[in-house]
Order: sequence, then C-alpha cells, then structure tokens
Amino acid sequence: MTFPNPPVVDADGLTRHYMLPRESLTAAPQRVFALNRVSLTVRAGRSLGVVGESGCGKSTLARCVMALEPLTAGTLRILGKDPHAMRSRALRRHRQNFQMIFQDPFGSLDPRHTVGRIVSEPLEAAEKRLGPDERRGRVREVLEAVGLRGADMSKYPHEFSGGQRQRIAIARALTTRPALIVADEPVSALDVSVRAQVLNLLRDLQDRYGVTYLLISHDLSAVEYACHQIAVMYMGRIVEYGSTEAILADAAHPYTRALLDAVPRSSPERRRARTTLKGAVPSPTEIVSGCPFAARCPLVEPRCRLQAPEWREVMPGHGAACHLV
Amino acid sequence: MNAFRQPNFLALALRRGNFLLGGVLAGLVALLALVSLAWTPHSAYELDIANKLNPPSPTHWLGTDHFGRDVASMIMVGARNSLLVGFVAVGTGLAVGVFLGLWASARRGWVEELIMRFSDFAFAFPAILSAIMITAILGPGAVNSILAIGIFNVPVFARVTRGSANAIWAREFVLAARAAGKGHARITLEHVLPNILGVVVVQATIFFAIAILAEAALSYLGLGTQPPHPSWGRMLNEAQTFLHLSPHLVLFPGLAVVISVLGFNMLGDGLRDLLDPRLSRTRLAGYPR
Amino acid sequence: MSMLEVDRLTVAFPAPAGPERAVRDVSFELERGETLGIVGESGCGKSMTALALMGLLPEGTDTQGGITLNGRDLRTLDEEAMCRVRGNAIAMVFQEPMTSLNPVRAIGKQVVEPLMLHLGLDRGQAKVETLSLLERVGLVDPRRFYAAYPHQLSGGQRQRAMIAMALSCRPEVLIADEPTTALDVTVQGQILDLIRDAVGESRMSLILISHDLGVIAETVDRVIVMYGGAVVEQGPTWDVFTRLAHPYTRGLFAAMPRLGEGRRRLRTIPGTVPELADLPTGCTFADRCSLARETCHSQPPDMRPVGESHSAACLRLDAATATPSFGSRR
Repeated sequence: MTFPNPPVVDADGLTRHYMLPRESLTAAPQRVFALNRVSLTVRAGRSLGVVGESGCGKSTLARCVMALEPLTAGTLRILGKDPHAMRSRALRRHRQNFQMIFQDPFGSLDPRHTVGRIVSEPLEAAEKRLGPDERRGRVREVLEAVGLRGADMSKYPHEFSGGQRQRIAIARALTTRPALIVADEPVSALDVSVRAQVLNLLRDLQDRYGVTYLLISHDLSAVEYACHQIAVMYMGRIVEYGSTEAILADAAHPYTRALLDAVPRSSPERRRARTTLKGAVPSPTEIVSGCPFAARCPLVEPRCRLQAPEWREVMPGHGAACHLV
Repeated sequence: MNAFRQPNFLALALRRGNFLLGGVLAGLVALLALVSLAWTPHSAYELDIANKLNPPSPTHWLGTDHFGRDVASMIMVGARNSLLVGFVAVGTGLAVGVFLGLWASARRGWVEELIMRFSDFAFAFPAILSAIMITAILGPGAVNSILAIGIFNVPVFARVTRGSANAIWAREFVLAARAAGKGHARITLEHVLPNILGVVVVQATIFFAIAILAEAALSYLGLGTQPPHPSWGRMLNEAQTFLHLSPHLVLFPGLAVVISVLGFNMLGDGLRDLLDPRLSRTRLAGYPR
Repeated sequence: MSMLEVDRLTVAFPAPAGPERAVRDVSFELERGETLGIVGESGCGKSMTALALMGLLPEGTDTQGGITLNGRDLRTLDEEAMCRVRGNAIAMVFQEPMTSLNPVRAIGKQVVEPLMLHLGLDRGQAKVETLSLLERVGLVDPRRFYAAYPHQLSGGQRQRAMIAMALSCRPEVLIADEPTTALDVTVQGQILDLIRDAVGESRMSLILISHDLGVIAETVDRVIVMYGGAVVEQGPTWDVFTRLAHPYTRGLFAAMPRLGEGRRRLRTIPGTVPELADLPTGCTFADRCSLARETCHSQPPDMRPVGESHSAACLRLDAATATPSFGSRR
C-alpha cells in the first residue's frame, strides 16, 4: 500500500520526561516518563487516532505536537518545519498551519469573549494583514461550515449548549485553514446524540477541506468511526499501529485486544465473560526494563519481563511492539 | 455535593441589601467630601476661641472643638482627606501590585519566586508598624502617609492577582489562545486580566476601607495629615483630652470613620457576592460532569 | 408488593425562569434481587431520581409522589430516620470517588464508621469486618488499603473503596450513579463485574444509572430510558434493546458509534435537549422527532404497551415500530 500524500506530521522519537515537585525536602524528585520515543506519520487528508487509557501519554503527545509543551528528545516536523526548533515569532506564524480542539467545551472558550472574537483569535495571531471585513467574512464562513449561523458571532459562549460550544471550538480551529487539527478527546464530554453530530461534522470537514486529524481519544468506537489509522499507546509508548480495519479485525498486541474486549456492547444477547485485565496502568514514574505491559499481560512470558520487545511488522503498515507477534 | 447547594433566596437578598447599604454609606461619605469642596457650614480652619467646646446646637450642628472650629465642617473636609488618601494609596497599590502579580503569573520561574518572596517579606511586618516605620523614615505628612499605605498595599494586590491569574492560566481557553499563536503579553491582557478584574475590584474596595482606617490611625499618631488640615484621626487624638467634658468631639469623628469603613467593607462584600459566578448562578448546575 | 415502589415522582427546583421540572411522573418498581438500569443523556433526570430516593435533594426542592421501601413511605420520614435508611437500607456509589471520599481520612476509618454507626459493632469487630470487606471488593492486601488515604489510590481502587463503604451495612438497594464513567475502559469492566457479583451474592437490588447504553446492556435485567425528566420507555433490557420502540431510544442507538461498524455514517438526532424550565406542552421529544404530528406537540403521551412488561410513551408508536431499527443507519 502506498500513500501518495505528503506527510503533514512527521514525528521521530518524541520523548517527554519531566520532574515532579519534591514531596518533601529530603525526597528525591520523581521523574515522569510521559512520552518515550514515539514516532508517527500522518499524511495529508488522513486521520490518525491515538487511543489508550488515562496516563498513557496521549494528551502529552497532543501537546508536544502542538508545541505547547517542550520535548526532551526527538524531532517533530509539521509541513516539513520543526515547531520546537523555531523562534517564538516564527512559531506563532507557523501555528496557523496546526490548530487544536480541546475536550471541555466549557473550559476552552473564554466566557468573556464573544463568539466572533473567540473564532477569530487564531487569525489575529497569524494573519495580521487581514482587514476587519475579511476577518468577519472568514469567521462567518467557518461558523456556517460548522453548522452555526453568522449572526451567532456577537453572542457569548454561555448562550450555547455543550455541542454548539464544541462547534465553536471547531470553528476556531478552522479559521486559519490549517493543514492539521489536533483534537484531544473532542467528543468525550458530549452526550450521545450530540456526539454523533460532532463526529459527523469532523468527517464532513475533512471531506470538504482535506484537513488532517490527529485525534486523541479513549473511545475506540469514536476513533474507529473517525480515523483511517490507529495508534495504541501504553505507558508513553506506541504499542501497536495500523489501519483501522486491520486493528479492529486483527489486533496483534494483547493490550489492544484487551482494550477492544473491554468496550461494553449494547447487544444484550450475549452477556460476555470479559477477559478483564488485572490492575490498572502502572505509574509512569517507574522505569520498566522489559515490556511495559508485562505486569498486566495475560500472555506474559519470562522474556517479556527481561527484554523490551522490538517493533515488528505483522503486515506492511501494521506493526506492534510485542515478543509474541 | 457542592453542586447542589441552591442559593438561598433570602441570603441572596440580604447580600444584595449588603451591597445597597454599603453603597449608600460609602456614597454618603463621598458626597460629604464632594460638597466640602464648594461649601461647608462654617470654615474648617477658622479659630473662634469664644465658642470653644460648644455642644451640638442649631448653629454648630455637631458642636465645636477646643479652638472653636466647627466639627461638622472639619468632618466634611476630613472626609475629603480620607478619600484622597484611600484613592491614591489603593491606586498605587493596585497599579503596581496588579502589574507585578500578572507578570509573576505570566513568567513563572524566578520572576514569580522573586516577586512572591518580596511580598512575603513585606507581609512579615504588621501593616501599621511598617507604615509607622516608613513615615518615621520619610517624616510625617499626608503625602508620606499615602506612600506608606500604598507600599503596604502592593504585596496584597500582587498576591491576590497572582493567585487568581494562575487559576486562569491553568484554564483550557488560555491553552487554546497559546495554540492560536498568542504571546504571553496578549494573553495576559485579553484573557487573564478581564477574568480576574472582578476579584481585583472587590479587593480594592475592601482595601479602600482599610486604607481609610490606616490613615486615621497614622494621623491619630501624629504621623499622617498635619495641622491645620483637618483629619479624622487627629480630631480623635485631640478630643481625648476633653473626653469627659465634650464627648461629642470623640463621637462624631469616630462615627465618620466607622461609617466609611463599614460602608466600603459592605460594598466590597456585596460586590464579591454579585460578581462571584458560583453564587449568582441561580440555575442548578446538575451533576458535575 | 414490590420492595421498592416509586409512584409518580416529580421533582422541581425553583429557578428565576420558573420551576425546573427535573423529574416528572416517574414510576417504577424494584423487586428484591432485581437489577434496574436508568439510561439517558445529561439533564434527563436520572441522577435527580436517584437523589430523591436517597432523600438527598437540596433544600427548597419541591418533591411530589411516593417512594415506598418495604411498605414504608420514605417521603414521610424526618431527617433523622432518613439518615438511618441511607447507608443502611439504601446505599449509593457516586461517579467521582475522589470527591465522595474524605481526603484527609484513611480509607479504613471511613469504612469502619458506618459499621459502628449503623450495625452497632465495636471498633475491633468493625475493623475485622472492614478488612474482609476491602478484600471482598478486590483490594487485596487489605491492611495496606486500610491505612491508605484516598489520594494514594488509583481511580479504580477508590471506586472499590466506595463500593466497600456502600456494601458495609448490607443495604437492600444499591444505587450506582455513573460508577464507571470516570474510569478507564479496562478498569470499567472490573468495577461492573464487582458490582454485579456483589449484588448477586447478597440478593441486593441494584439501580444502575448510566449514559452508556453498553454498560446498561451488559449489567442489568430491566431498563428505564429517560428523556427531559420523564420515562419514555421501559422494559426488560433484552426486549428494549432488540425492539426499540420509542423514537428517542431508536435515535440514541443509531447515534452511537459501535465497535466493528467501521466508517458508516452515524445517524444523528437533530437539535438539543430541551430546557427544563421551558418544557413543551406535548411530548418532550416532539421538537426533535421525525415522526412528530400536530397531536404530539399538544398532547402529552402516556405509556403504552409494546410487549410483555415493555412499554413506551409515544403517540406514534405504530409508525415508530413499523421501520426496522437495530443498527439502522442512513
């Protein structure tokens, strides 16, 4: 399988470690290994879903890709340019190419700004040449593109419901016509009926503008619906990567299989005996010598605890980090 | 279960009442001060030894002091003095403190450490003691007492500003602004400041009351406004000697201090309640989700 | 007579724009050992129903209707008597265990207290009982957890501790309000299994409140679907989920992305949930319903039978059930 599209995101070995504040004067500061050598590529017009449980590093990945958090190591290229290596002025201009949607539609909009001002915020920073009329035209255009009315410009966020607010947030991310939108749990705060509206909208926008998504979510079914590729993360690492179809049909990593199995099904015919994983995700402050999943893996072997598994390809474009693959 | 605490309507009305009463009292003091610019019943400076220590009467509503000056007029002029000191002192504290607080919050790191340790240092001294210290060094006088009170206000405002600003910096819409390509200065001006303005205004109103009290205290000690300019604090000081002879000399300036401090305090409290979204939101928020 | 009977429960909150009727005429029964699910979106009244059962609604709430537990009307009890019912006869597990646990007290202390209070055990007995409870909810090495503080526990462990507290006085009814919403998927399954096992072992009744149709489908015998404060459909879980009757239930199913269905387009319900202070006179769902007629907007629907003990509140039930439903998509 070949992709003719050029990469929009090209990440190589992204690593993010940071220190926690000391618990007491004598305690050694703890280091958090939030992101460990994560490499991925997202091509233009495609969408990559990053799934995993809380604390797996997926939100850190989103913020590092957005250059909102510094990297400890690794290189990132967005449209060929590394935002982490840029001076702040150049970075601010480069930001028009990659925008973000946040999880909480109540927290991500400044309650004291009008919708028009919120949506045009990325424009102000990026395209100073744009006149006020053009700017207003652009805001109206994106508001209409997300299913709101141009007249909503002068309203305040509290006048909208959760789903409408998330539309405003999406409109804000679209105003600069970015190549990439990083969406961190864009639908998990929404109700089921509204969630479907927003998921459909995200896909329509991709069809219409060819925007590329990096979608972070804990919800596998939402990711399946919205994404072409899936990366599964565990303890700051990508443990499996492949096309959505391949991962859903033929997951290679035991963790991916457990994740898929844990999703509750709404067909009550079979009350399944879940193969539940034991325990929870270990603390990311520990250094693991072997496979990070070994402690919870139902198929664990002695070598898993000793030796970190290497990346193996199951098929071209579908790989996993597991000894048993 | 906090989300279920319904605002009690009686309490809300009382708080509104608080705000109203505070506004009326503070407004009264401000009105006295304004009127005194154009008119006072008598001169507040003219001595009339013949009529000294008169009790309240139709000619001298609040009586006269030991030099025969009209107490009502002195209180009116004193109000001007108190308000001026309050305004300038709180204004100075506000301007410098809010700037430092915003700066600390935006820059974090050593800038924040430095500013906050400086304000800790200033806090370690009791307010009135440091004001006395400053006037002792600079010499007594209205301007110096303003300066002393103002300097004491700086760390207060810096602290309040930094605290609320840090909470705003942690909000997602600030992250969104950063992702949109805004710099720290613009985020501070466009997102942080408007969102903490309420808190700062409330703080300013309450510290206005404290500044009035501090001015009265300094003048009482002879470190504030100097004669012949009338000041509530010094009126109280001078009245001490005649406490048994003419209690009205203590009563009226004392009452003036109490009314203005109470007024501005209640105004601040009322403002806080009105501006606090958690109390003013009458809708039931439902489950926190 | 059933163990728990809720009869035309109505809850209204005073609000500036007029009373917000969060729960309207909700009736249901719960037998001993039965598991009941209440499903719906935010603001549908499911949590308010639970709080009304617990007698935990805020001051100033207008509550009407009857709540009868073992023949005793809970609505007539004073606060003191209600306190004895809470934790003893009815216990509740909340969504966010971190906010429902006292952060400055050790887990063990928090479980011991209700045991001493409600069951009259002395401290020694209560501690023994607590350790066995902690073990039962899957906190192996209970002595370590006994002394631990809430912040030292993971989300799943905290929820286990909450369940231990809820189970401590062997309640007859356990109410679990979104018990797994704040947890990771792999932990969610563990907690649901735990709740199901605990309920099964001690013949408790369960009311599980969730927005997640999957969680409901996998856990309970009978389900109530709520919308805009009222029950729109109820029946045995299997029945309801295979023969979706109410247009809202059908819409909810169609709108939910399901694993293994690929990138087929989701059907959505247009519009948003109605304002509780300004509910339409007729059917609450009429404004969003594609089948709505004149009458739907003016006349409130009553519950009509769909199958055996399966009913739905819809005037256009015939039209709604005429089309195939499960998984149907545009």
